[in-house]
Amino acid sequence: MTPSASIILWIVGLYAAAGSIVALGFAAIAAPRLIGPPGNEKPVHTPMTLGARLLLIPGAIIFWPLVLKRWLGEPL
Amino acid sequence: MKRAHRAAHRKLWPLLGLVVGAGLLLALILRPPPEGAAATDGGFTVLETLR
Amino acid sequence: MSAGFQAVQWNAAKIRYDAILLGLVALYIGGFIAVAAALSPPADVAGWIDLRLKAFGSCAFLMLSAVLAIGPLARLNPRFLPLLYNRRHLGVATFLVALAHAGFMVEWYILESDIANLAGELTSWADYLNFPAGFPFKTLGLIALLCMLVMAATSHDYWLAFLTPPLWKAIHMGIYLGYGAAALHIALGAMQSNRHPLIPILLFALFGAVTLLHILAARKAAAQDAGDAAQDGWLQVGAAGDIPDGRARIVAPAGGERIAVFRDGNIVAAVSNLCAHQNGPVGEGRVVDGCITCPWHGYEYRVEDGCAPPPFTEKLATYRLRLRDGWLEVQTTPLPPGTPASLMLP
Repeated sequence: MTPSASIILWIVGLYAAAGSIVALGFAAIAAPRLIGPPGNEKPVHTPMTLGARLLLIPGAIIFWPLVLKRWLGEPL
Repeated sequence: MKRAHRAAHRKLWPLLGLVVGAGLLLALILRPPPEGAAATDGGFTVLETLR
Repeated sequence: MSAGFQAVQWNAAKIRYDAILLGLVALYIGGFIAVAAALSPPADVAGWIDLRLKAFGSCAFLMLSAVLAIGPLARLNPRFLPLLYNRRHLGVATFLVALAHAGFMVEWYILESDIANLAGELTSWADYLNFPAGFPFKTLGLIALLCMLVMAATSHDYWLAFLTPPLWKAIHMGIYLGYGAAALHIALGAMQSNRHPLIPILLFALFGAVTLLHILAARKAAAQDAGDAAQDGWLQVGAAGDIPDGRARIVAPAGGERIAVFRDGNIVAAVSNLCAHQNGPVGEGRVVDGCITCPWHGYEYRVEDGCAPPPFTEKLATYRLRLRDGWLEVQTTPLPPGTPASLMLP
C-alpha cells in the first residue's frame, strides 16, 4: 500500500471512529430532544421508535461534527 | 423547491451535461483498440465498435 | 406525516411501491446473470464474481438514472407524481445495489490475494493523467458510492427536520455529482475493457435523457419564476371563479417565492407554495376534506390558516387576499405561518 493510501485510510478511520461514538450517544440519548416533530422549530421531546434511532446512526456518523454542535446547544 | 434551489438547478444541469458529456465522448473516441485487433489507427476504433 | 418518528411510516401505497421495486430489481439481476451465464458460462469463481459485478453495477446505474428522471418527469407531467411519492426508498435501494457491486469488487481482490493493492491503485497519482484507459476509474465509482451513502444515510425525515429543508435539499443535490461520477466510472471502466456496443449506446442514452429532462423541467420552471409585477404590494391573481374548486392558481411576484391561491367552494386562501416538509409545491396539490394536500408526500394544511390539523404542528405562511373590481388580488408580503387569512367570496 502506498504511504498516501495509508494516510487517507487512517484519517477516514479516525473520523468514522469518532463519529461512531458520537452517533451511538446521539441515537441513544440526544436524538429525541434535539428537534421537534417534523415542521416544529422548537426543540421538544419527540417520541422515537428504536427502529428510527437505529436508522439515524449512519447519518450521525457522517455528520457527527454537526450533531455534536447541536447537542452542545449551538445552532447549525 | 425554493427559487434559489431552482436557480442553482438551472445552472448546474447544463454544466454537468457539458462536462460529463465531453468526458464520455472523449473516453469513447480515445479508447484503445481491442486486444489482438489488427487495426493500428485509433481513429477507426469507434466505427469498428459500433459496426 | 407523523407527530413522532418511526423507522418507516408504512402504508399500502409504500408497500406496493417497494414490492414492485424489489420485483423489478430481482428480475433484472436474475435475468442478467442467467442470460450472460448461458451465453458465456464463467470458467471459475472469479468469472462468477465478475458476472455479479456487471449485473449489480448496471442495475445500480439504471436505478440511479430512474431516481434522477422522476423529479423532472413529475414537474413536466403530474401523471408521474405517484413515482415521486416513495422516491427515497428507490434511492436507498439504489445505494444498496451499488454497495453490493462494490462488495463484489472487494471480494474479487480478496480472491486474488491483492486487497492491499486496491487502496494503492486509487492513490497512484500518475495514473490520473493516463486518460482514458489507465485512469483509476474505481475512484469515480467510490465518489458516486459516497454521494449515494450520504443521501441514503440522511433520507429519514428526522434529518430533514434536523438539517432544515433548504440545507437538506442542498446536500441532496450532491447526487447530481454522484451521477456524473457514476457515468464516467462506466465510461473509463467497463467501456474501456469491454467492446460491446450496447455499453456506450445505453450510457449515452441514459445520461443524455436524464440531462435533457432536467434542462426541460428547469426551462418550464424559469418561465413560471419570471413572475408578475405587484402594484403597491398587491398582485393580481385573476377572477376567483376561474380557479377550479379544490385547486390552486400559482402566482409569483417578480423576484419572490411562489404563492398558491386555493379555492375551496366559496372560500379562497393564499399560502406559501413551499411545503414545510420538503419544500414541495403545495399549489400543485388539491383540497381534500378542507385541507390542502401536498402532491409530494401528502402533508396536509387547513385552508383557513395554513396549519396542519392536530396533533401535527407544521404551518405554512399565509397571505392576505382582497377582491377589487371582481378581481382577486394577493398581498406579496407573507403573514407569520399559521395566521388565519382566508376570504369568503360573496
